[in-house]
Amino acid sequence: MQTMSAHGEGAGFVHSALFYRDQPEYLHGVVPFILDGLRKGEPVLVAVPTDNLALLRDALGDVTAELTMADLCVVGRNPARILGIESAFAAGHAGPVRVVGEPIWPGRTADEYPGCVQHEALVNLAFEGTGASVLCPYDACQLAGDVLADARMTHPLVAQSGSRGSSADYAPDDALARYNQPLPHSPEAVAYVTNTHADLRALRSFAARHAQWLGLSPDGLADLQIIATELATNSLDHTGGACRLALWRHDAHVVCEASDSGRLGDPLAGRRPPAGDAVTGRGLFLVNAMADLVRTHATPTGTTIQVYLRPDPALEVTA
Amino acid sequence: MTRPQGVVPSAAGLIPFAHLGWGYTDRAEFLVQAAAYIADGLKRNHFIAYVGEQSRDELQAELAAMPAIRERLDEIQVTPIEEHYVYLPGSGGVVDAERSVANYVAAARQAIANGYTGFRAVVDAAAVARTPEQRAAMTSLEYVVDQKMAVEPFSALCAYDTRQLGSAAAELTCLHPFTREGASSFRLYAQPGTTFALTGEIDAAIDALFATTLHRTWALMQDDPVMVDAQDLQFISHRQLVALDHCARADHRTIVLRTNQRVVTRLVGLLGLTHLRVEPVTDQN
Repeated sequence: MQTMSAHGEGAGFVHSALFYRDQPEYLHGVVPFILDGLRKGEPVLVAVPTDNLALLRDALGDVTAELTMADLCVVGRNPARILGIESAFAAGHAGPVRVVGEPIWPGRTADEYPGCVQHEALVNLAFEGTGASVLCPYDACQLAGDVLADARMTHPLVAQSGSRGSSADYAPDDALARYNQPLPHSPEAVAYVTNTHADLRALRSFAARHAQWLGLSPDGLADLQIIATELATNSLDHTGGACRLALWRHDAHVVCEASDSGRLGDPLAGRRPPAGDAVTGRGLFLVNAMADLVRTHATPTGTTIQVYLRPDPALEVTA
Repeated sequence: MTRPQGVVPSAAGLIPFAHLGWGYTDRAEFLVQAAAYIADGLKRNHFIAYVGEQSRDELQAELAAMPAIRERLDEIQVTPIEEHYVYLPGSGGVVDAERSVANYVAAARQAIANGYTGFRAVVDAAAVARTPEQRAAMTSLEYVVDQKMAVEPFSALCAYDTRQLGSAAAELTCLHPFTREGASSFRLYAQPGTTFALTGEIDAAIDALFATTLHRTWALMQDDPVMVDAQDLQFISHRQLVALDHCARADHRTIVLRTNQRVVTRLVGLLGLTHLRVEPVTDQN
């Protein structure tokens, strides 16, 4: 695994958590960050939840036309997708960029939260050595103390009550390790083992047949067939061994789990858009972009990836 | 109108001008299919050509052994394959696709002029598909002849002996609108109103076959944009979409996939492809 620099800062890279208690503090912390970036000619991405997006629109007025805005309640439901959005924004501009990224809000579920912490930790790795400035607001009143403690581990800088300082608890690798936990399984799961590429057609038939029974819509089935194929192909290509694919229903989602004996060496795999000319390496990126949630557990002897899909994805909105 | 296509269990009972790619391991099983295809053609008053690697006498003996055919042997043109196609000089058996197809078209038109309702060939073609060079030339022939078959009254059962060709037979059977189960999981064939149609399932299992087919046929497609009828494409993974995009970009052209499948549109958008786009199928196109 790649390790991160002591402060998560490269040449000009700044990654700060902003602990706010109310809307005035939110605006007081975020708006100057945005305006300062615009003054310096730095493109700004604002990727925050719906309510705070509206708050910033009201506060900034016409200035919003100069910003790229993304509602993370829509495009960032899957935390493993957010880095792709932020990275694509940075890659689309030559110089330093600014990002307001708020991946964690009070409505996040327990299933989603580990992925959010992993995202925050990986921001340091993804932007290291760039001139990017990333500000991550945290609702200090509504979020639990553990969440704020995690934010101190994933951000080299923390701002609150109008001042900013280094985080003594900054340890993103430890945060990644803490949330790299075995994933829950279901005794009701049905499974199919893909041993060679020739099994992929049968895998898709299996996935469609069982997911239909689990309540996935026709659009959802088409998405699942892509996802199952990409996960199995990834396993076959990178481990040389088999991929076990399991399906079950979990609350409002259909879960598709792929497990193999490979070691996921790159924690950023699938989280950033692949290079323009690359033919391979896009499978996990697509899975992250299409899923409602992607959870991963990686060990030296095996990798498990769980993909959560809503029964009817017709409501999805792409970035 | 959409051209009929499909994976079929036998050569019997197809549409009048069905172009069928048939890989076989059992010669007797092939002869059963050939007999059904010929008998259907005779019933429709098609001119029939029977072509194979064997001598003329051996081929005639095969026909004579077919119960439904033996009474009408003198109505069937029997030709050894070395006489049937035109070959590139000094190539050691590489077909001249352009001239061979021109001969097909001329023969079909002559058949119509002579009072037949069509021209139908049964060609056992493994002898001209053993090497990669031969298969590249046969790819050209199959691709171009299928374009003609989509609009002219002729058809063919193209048989490939997989005992001789192995999995390479799929390089040619995939170029037919009709095949048998297990021949190739995808098919690329002519569709009037578009450059070609793509159907079936395309994933990593046939990545190399798809790349070879695309490489060999691309130069034969003059359209820009290259219009692909993908409405019956059941599955395509991102690698092949990227391969199509790269192919078009390298040639400064664009590929348009015509389909109403939401997932294909979504994939193309997520991949950020620049030379491949998706267009919905409407009554107008």
